[in-house]
Amino acid sequence: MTGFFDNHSLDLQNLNISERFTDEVFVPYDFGYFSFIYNSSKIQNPPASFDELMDSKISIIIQDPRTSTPGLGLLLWIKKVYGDDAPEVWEKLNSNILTVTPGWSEAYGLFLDGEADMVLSYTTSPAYHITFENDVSYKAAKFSDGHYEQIEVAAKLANNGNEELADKFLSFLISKDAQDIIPETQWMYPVIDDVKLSSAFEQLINIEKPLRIEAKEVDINNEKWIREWEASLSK
Amino acid sequence: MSKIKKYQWLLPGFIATVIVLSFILLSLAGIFEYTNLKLIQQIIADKYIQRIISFTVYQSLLSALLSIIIALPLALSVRKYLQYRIIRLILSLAWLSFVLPVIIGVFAIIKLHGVSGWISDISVLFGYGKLNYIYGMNGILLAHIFFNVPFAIRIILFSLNSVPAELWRIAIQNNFNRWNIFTQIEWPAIKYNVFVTAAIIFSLCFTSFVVVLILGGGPKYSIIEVALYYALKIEFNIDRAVSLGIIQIFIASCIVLIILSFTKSFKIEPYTKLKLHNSNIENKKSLIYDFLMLIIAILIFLLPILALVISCLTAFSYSTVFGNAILLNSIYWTLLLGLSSGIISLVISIMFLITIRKLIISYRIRWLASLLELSGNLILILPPVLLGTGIFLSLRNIYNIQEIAPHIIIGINTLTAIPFTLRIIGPEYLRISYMYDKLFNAYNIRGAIRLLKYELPLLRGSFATAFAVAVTLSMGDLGVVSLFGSTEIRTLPLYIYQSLGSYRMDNASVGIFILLMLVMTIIFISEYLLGRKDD
Repeated sequence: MTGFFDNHSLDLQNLNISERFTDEVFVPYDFGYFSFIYNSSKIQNPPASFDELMDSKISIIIQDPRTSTPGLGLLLWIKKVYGDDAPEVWEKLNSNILTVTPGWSEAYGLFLDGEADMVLSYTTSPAYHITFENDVSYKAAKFSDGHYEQIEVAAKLANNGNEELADKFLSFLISKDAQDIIPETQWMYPVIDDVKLSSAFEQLINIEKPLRIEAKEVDINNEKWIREWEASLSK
Repeated sequence: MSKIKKYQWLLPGFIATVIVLSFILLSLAGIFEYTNLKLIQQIIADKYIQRIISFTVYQSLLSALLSIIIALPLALSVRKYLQYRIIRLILSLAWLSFVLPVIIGVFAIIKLHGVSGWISDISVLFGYGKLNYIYGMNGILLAHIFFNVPFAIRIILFSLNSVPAELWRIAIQNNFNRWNIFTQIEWPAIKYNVFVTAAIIFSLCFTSFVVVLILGGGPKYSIIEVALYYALKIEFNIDRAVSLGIIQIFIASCIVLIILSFTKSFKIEPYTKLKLHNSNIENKKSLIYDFLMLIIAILIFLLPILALVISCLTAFSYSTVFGNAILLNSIYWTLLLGLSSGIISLVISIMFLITIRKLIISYRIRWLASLLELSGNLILILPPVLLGTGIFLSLRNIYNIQEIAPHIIIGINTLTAIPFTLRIIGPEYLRISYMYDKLFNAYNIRGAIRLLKYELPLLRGSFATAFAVAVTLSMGDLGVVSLFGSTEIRTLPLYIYQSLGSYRMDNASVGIFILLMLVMTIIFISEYLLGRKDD
């Protein structure tokens, strides 16, 4: 990482994701699972797997893995599920893809405008609509393939100018005070267990086996996989 | 002593050049720290990058060409009816598409042309089903036309202004047909600005990755900026991002230079500016043609904005605005940063022009004048975001970037506006100076008095337009403010984007509506109040 960041000095063992993620530089502060969101008042039978999605006429908006982390997440998700067959899956999915946006915001905005049937987002997205809009029609489509996990991280800059303050902030980020706010601002899951989630979160789909590819493997193959993705979608 | 005094007119242009160049050099220093020639060679040798580069060049050249082809007949038609208030109003409204943050413009286009846009809705109403035509190359070109044609029309109209009434009269007396009028009168007057405008549009499209990604529909259409973004944001590979940036700057400047080589620098029109009312020398047939042109213009440029305004209006209410402290704060920053950049870029432009004028009119040293003009335009090949990244890299070890962020934002947005203000004020200023130079000299009117008391009132019209352009361009900036903004310094475009990023479509809509209203207010205040006298 070209020396831009310093190691943190925190103990991450008490976090609820410590079995799945631990790192000397990056501090995880929330996590979530990728999924396709649909409006249940318009779509009655959402696809329950990638296979079903490919065979349907459902239109989707996704993000570009070259500019956005959800985009990258979908790429890894499909890689995890299909392995070497991923390119063919992307070729088939191409007919479902309305467009590929640079970031999550554009994609979700277009979806809410009614441009497509589903959008790549997180299983937690419906919680926002339930909490603030009293709208229970937005739902995450549960895939039998499993759902890929995203863990969001923070780190301190090498030339941070105030070591002590940087450390303090990172430890604040995983404290109860900060974690209490995360679910209903970030709309992601907190990394500690004693945060009480609102009832909206209880209505979300449950992910039993989150999918993940080891960071090392992603690092090595990232560029190759993205080229593969581009080639499949350019056909 | 008198010798120094004799050359003090060099000073304003010199200072302006130093200000502009020091900002650019500061940024380049930050960029060059990470430059690696070997890596650049390696990147260029990559087949994939070559494909991206050729598509980048192809789509931006095509967009520039189409924009000019569409702007030209529109401008020629519109010119004849400028005395009508409604036409000027439409022109002002069309300006919105050029200054809006790109993402908002893209939303406007989708509200009209999208799968669930107005046109698609009409198709459904007639039983034809939803239409999906905007995602792909169509969308990219349509968006670039939507963003850039209103700008091109403006610049062409400004140059047509310099055609003297005498010429039109000669045309009537000699029974010129439409083609003669174009080749003999109009084209010579607008030629220079047409090429400059083409170059500007080309460089804007060269890095327009939001449009290419959202409306392109997929990675089939990728431009260099996407690869750069990927290197910077996903890989966090600054060396590679910088190399791509340098490749991008190099290719863009080569092509801009080629486009500009078709034409010469500032031309002075030693004509008196007269009212052009007597220039309507055409018949009924052309009246119908002009009317059609106007309808087309309204459909392409105003309808998307109208669709956007109407969809945003639903979220607008007293409490959503005045009960929202963050929104109010971002209105404050939008105005503060926008007005500051606008005023400073006007001042710097006039400093450039004072020296350029003297060089051209009194001393006839054209090459130095061109060089000065070039340094004002240099920013065009350096996308604001790249400029900002370079400045960040240079200053991050010296200053607390957060503390000086407003100054950096104002600085970069000022620079971004200068090519446009120079283009708008320049030709008019030189023409007026040329006309009255001997008179001023004879009466020994010089220096600040000449500028403030005599020249500025004559330039009121173009000054007002330049002011509106500079302020609104800065107000609509999203690229720079998202690099340097924070929770304290947040402009409306940033507020809108952050609202979109946290599910708050309602807040985003209110933000978009207010931004549109503010931009329109600035345009109307400048053009209809400040710029009144010149007309």
